[in-house]
Amino acid sequence: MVAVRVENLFKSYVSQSKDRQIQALSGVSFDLQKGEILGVVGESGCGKSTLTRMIAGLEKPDSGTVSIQGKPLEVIARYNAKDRTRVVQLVFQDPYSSLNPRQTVFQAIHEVVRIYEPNLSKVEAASRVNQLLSQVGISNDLASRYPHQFSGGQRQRICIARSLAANPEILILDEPVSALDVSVRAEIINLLLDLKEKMNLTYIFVSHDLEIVKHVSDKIVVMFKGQIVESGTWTEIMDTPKNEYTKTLIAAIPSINKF
Amino acid sequence: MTALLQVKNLSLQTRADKRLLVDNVSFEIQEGESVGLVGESGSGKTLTALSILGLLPRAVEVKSGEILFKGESISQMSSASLQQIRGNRISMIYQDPMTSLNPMMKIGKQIQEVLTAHGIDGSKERVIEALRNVEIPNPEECFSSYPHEFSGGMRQRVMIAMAMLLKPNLLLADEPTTALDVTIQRQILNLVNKERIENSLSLLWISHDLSVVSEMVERVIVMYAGRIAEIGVVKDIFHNPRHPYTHGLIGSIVKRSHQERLLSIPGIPPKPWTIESSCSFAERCPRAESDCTSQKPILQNQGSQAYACFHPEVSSSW
Repeated sequence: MVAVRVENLFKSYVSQSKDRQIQALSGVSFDLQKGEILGVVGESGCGKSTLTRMIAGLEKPDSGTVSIQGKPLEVIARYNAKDRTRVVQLVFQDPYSSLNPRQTVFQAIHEVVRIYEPNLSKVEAASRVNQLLSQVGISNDLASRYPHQFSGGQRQRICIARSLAANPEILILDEPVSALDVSVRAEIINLLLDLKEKMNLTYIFVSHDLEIVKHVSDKIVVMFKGQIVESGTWTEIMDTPKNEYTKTLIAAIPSINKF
Repeated sequence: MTALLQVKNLSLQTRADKRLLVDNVSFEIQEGESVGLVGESGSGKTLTALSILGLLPRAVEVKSGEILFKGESISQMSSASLQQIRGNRISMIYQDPMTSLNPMMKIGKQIQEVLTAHGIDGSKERVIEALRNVEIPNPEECFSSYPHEFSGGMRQRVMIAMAMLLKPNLLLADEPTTALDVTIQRQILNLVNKERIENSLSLLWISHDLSVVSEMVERVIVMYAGRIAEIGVVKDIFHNPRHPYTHGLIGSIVKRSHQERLLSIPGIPPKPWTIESSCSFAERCPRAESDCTSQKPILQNQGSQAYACFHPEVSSSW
């Protein structure tokens, strides 16, 4: 089953000084099967974020379509914005700036549970919050704490729990571990892989860390100047890179395996 | 021969409430040698580097220890003589070049300032030559441009041009490529290596990225919660780490098969001032025993490798 289908997306912006057109996306297409992890790599400004924002419905394409589980996004969005966010959720790079500092963790997640499951009773909603927290390895007695009382890794777990509150099918992970220290990075990656398996989620994993993209992705797309210049499995891309940019990218990967 | 830089038993603390931040750190850098300083945020790596330049933030003070550059104590130096070393014999590049450049001043002028500050006549030609050395495409144009007109990679090149201007003996590089794209990072790594070879420069490369460090340096210092956990040549650190923290750190990036779970170190690093009489890693360590929480391990030399651990790893299989 196709979870995400992106067809011929075009998007351009007018620069701040209003004298230039910036082509953010020029003809991006791909299919992502349910349960797969798609890795998106490319340099800053290549259109990665524009693409993910479009899939999340936060940005409208100039032309082209995004379909989620066979339905065009426009149709879903026009019907009900909540239905769109119910299916696609985002996790961002910096967990600190994506949590409200004046809300306890319980409040932050409870709010989302209330939106997506308004029929739950008070008690049920509270136990749903606790269940979401346990799912990401945050002990329930920490729920009354504020974001600043957690470490970076824990905060990212909380953000993941919050995005799961919507019962999404698709998670867009935009540099989810780039702001984290090396020793906690592995834990978050493991958690994401576990959740994906347990809940049969589909991931779009954006990162500049090629080692991690390689490790988690079933399929990878390389973006360059608003286009997908290469796609396939890591081995397909590594063994026969067709594009000049991909070749430079591969040559640039620092590696400890040289020792 | 004395080492170019000697850091001896350096301890740093907060000025206000005397909380220990860096605990008894000692290491040396030889002439022409490149050393990596690896650790997570809060491990004290940047503070250690800043104290070499006498640039500690106001809230932090030296508790004890000294730093010798070419045998002379930097810590005892007057600020005037320290000024002669800073930017001249020892220079530094930082993670974010935009915050290290003055946004209101043209690039050429900023570079000239380095020369005039050291009493040298800064001719335009000399600055343009320096920009050309760091492979900036149009050095003449760059001279009269502002920092915001450049990309991150180009700005970092400008910083390197500035740092290398007076041919220093030692370059301190604090995560200079962390904010850059992989392909740009590669260019900067190559550039620093070129400068290093051409000028027989010593390098202290600070980073949390182990794979970059392994490419750039000969020896690695691993810091954890304000202390040195382990020191060794790159090959030993990556293939035969003895400290369980190093072992875990390398383990978390070691190749696993596709989508297999990675090795991780549970928990988070403690604050250095809370663990003064125990091993800093004890509470996260899979090998910890009772002595680890009652005594503080001291860095011990074992051949070319040194580690602060009572129960070191014996074999390195992950």
